[in-house]
Amino acid sequence: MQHFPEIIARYEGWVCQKCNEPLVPGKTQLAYLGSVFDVELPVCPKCGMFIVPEELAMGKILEVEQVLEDK
Amino acid sequence: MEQKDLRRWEWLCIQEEPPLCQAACPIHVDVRLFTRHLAAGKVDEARKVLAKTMPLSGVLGRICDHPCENACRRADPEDGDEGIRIGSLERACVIQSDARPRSLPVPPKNFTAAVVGGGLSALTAAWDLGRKGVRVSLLVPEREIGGVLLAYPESVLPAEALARELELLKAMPVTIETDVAIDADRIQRLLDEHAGVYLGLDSLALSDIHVDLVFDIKALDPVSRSTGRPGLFAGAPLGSTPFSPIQAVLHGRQAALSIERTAQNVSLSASREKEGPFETRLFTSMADVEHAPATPMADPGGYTPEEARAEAARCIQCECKECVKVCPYLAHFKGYPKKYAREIYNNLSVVHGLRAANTMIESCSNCGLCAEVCPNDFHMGTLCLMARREMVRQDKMPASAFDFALRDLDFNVSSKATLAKPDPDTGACEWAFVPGCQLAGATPELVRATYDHLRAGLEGGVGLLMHCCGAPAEWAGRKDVLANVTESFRALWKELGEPKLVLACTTCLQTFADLLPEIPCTSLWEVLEPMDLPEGAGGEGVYTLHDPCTSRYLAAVQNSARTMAGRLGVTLRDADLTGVNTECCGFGGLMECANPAMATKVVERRTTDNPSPFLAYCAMCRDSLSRQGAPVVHMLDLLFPGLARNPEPASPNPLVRSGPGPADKHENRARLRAQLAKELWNEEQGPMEKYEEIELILEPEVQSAVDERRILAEDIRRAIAHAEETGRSMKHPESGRFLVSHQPAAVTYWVEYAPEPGGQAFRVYRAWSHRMILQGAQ
Repeated sequence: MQHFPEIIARYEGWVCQKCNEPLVPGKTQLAYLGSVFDVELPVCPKCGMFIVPEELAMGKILEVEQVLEDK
Repeated sequence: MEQKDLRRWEWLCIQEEPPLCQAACPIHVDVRLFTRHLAAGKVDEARKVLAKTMPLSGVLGRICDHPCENACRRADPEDGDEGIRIGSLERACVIQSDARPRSLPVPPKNFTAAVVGGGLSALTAAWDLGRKGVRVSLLVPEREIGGVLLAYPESVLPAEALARELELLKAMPVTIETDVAIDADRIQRLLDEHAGVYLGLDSLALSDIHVDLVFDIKALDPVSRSTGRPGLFAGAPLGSTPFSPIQAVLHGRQAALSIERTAQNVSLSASREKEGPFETRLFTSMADVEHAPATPMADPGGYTPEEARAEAARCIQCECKECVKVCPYLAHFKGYPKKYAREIYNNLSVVHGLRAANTMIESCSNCGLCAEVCPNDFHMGTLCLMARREMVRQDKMPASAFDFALRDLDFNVSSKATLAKPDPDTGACEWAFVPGCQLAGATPELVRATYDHLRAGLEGGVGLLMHCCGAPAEWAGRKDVLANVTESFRALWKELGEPKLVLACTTCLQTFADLLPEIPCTSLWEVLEPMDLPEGAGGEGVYTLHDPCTSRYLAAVQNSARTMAGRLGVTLRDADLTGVNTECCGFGGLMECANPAMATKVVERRTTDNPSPFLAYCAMCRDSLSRQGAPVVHMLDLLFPGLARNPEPASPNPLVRSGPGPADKHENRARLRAQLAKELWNEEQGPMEKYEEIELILEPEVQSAVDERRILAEDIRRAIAHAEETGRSMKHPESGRFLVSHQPAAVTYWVEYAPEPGGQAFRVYRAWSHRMILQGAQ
């Protein structure tokens, strides 16, 4: 599983609106073009909704997307 | 893509054809590489190039009769000056260096050969066979080895130079006997003992034996050197013509190969077309070559190292690359179309593993300049479009490539953006104006002004038809989408009573000519040309005219644009690449969508190679060309100067933005459509969807980041509406902000926002997206 503790730390204080639960680091799965990745992200412990932080989406995730697209 | 298709594409690109000198050389010395090394002062490396192809390079390099020199591109009587003195360079090289590649020991062959003669052709045959591990008996009829070579004066061919080469020959499995008596019986015995026998007739003593008793010299095969007697080969006869060392070498080499083939019992004649001189298909332009005469020789005996270096530097290193010279995209991948065709073929054939040519396939602008400058019309765009269709068919097209353009297309054929109406005053519709998606998205006010002007000037009623032509679908390789768009356009045209279309965009013009040939189409510029100018029309100053790439073969359109510019009072200068050779603005083929960095490169080149300001007559060209800051005006800005926007950069993200205004192209089109429908045809707008009512507030730096990420206001509105409806969002109690995600299709959007106090407005703090799909938490 991929860990990005520094990025997750920046999302402290966010709460799931529906469950009113503070988000905690948790295991999530992202998939793209047949590959599945386990990533630790801020997750609602009750309903499982999670955040894909901007820093990851525009950084590491974008890189992986591009590699998978052979760009 | 079948392998035979690849072969056809490969054949079209001639970049890998040998240069003229190498093709004219009977043994195909790599002269281009040789002169490149010499010009760099690398004499030893140059010598190795000679020795790689030449037998006895220390001898042949001194005396070669260099047919290559006449063939040299610089020697062309039409546009050349003086051929490179290749013969003198070779001579200088072998005098100044003795470097040769190390010959690697090879396993011995299971047959033997006999070579009769002491001349250059016999030595060549023995050399070639010996190097391949064939045990050779070299039988020299004279006491001294050399044949005709012995007649050269010491100053031209020193005895020592020949001796040094013979040392190398002796290091091979070659046994040399001199003073050997040769007659017909001996030859028969040799034929019995060996796989093959070669008679090198450039040995003086051989002229004494009655060759006619051994074979018919007239029956000698010019390629295999076969005498007609199985296993017996002969070459380099001394005749009335002057002795040609390079021909003697060729004959020896041909015979050596024939002896090998005889031993292996394979065809003597198959696949030997490229032995000896042949015509190359390589094209090399002399357009940018500075004329310069051959470097003079201070000492007639030969070039000094410095002189040789200077003369070698005159070699223009012949190559074609006409397309690569004019196309930043083709140059970017560091190759040329033949190489790219192979990479694309390999890419499409991959079952598992990396598809390494995706970016190349997705980035071509399909502008066709390559085909225009190519001697064989190699059209990279056609190849890439074929590859894109194949990728779509195999379900291997990455969603990121054309996703944005296809969503844009979806919108442009939706009820929010399409409109088909007859003339609002008369209800007649002999004509219909088709502004095209880009003009409507970039400058909706010019669409209205142009439409009003056309209605005032044309007889028979002018309708309006707003709908995508389908070009983005064609470029994205989506035949299915293209077919739908084409059909839907045809239906609207029929509904209007099959009017003649007036098209503002040459891409639409090109697309309809291909797909809807039954529709009579004329460009806006041809229609405007004979009409009166609108009141207040006109401009001043000098502009570089940029022809859109889709006008490449529409000379009438290009001429009308020039005439219109003249009537409007501006002076034009042609771009360096203009008319039939015009260059794409970086949008064509969806280059801008799939590879924005490449489009920037294209624009950079266009706007640095040509003086500003520019005059464009395609809305997309205007926006694209201005992305790097060059001032570009549209012809319609001159026609309606009252509406013209400041000819400043439109946006660094031309695909998204229309200009310095707040609305993106979607919104512009939708508003234009609604406004025209209401004002001209009294059509009331349908109820707005909930998300459309959301008002967004974005600070300029947020707007700019959002544009760069290709996130439309519509995406943000939908994400917020989704969250507000479902209550599914994240909240940051301290700041009062919300974070939501929304995945309408392939892309997931995230928006951080906060509702403004009271009302519908939302302040957006940031937005981002990714294509990875959320599988869920565990």
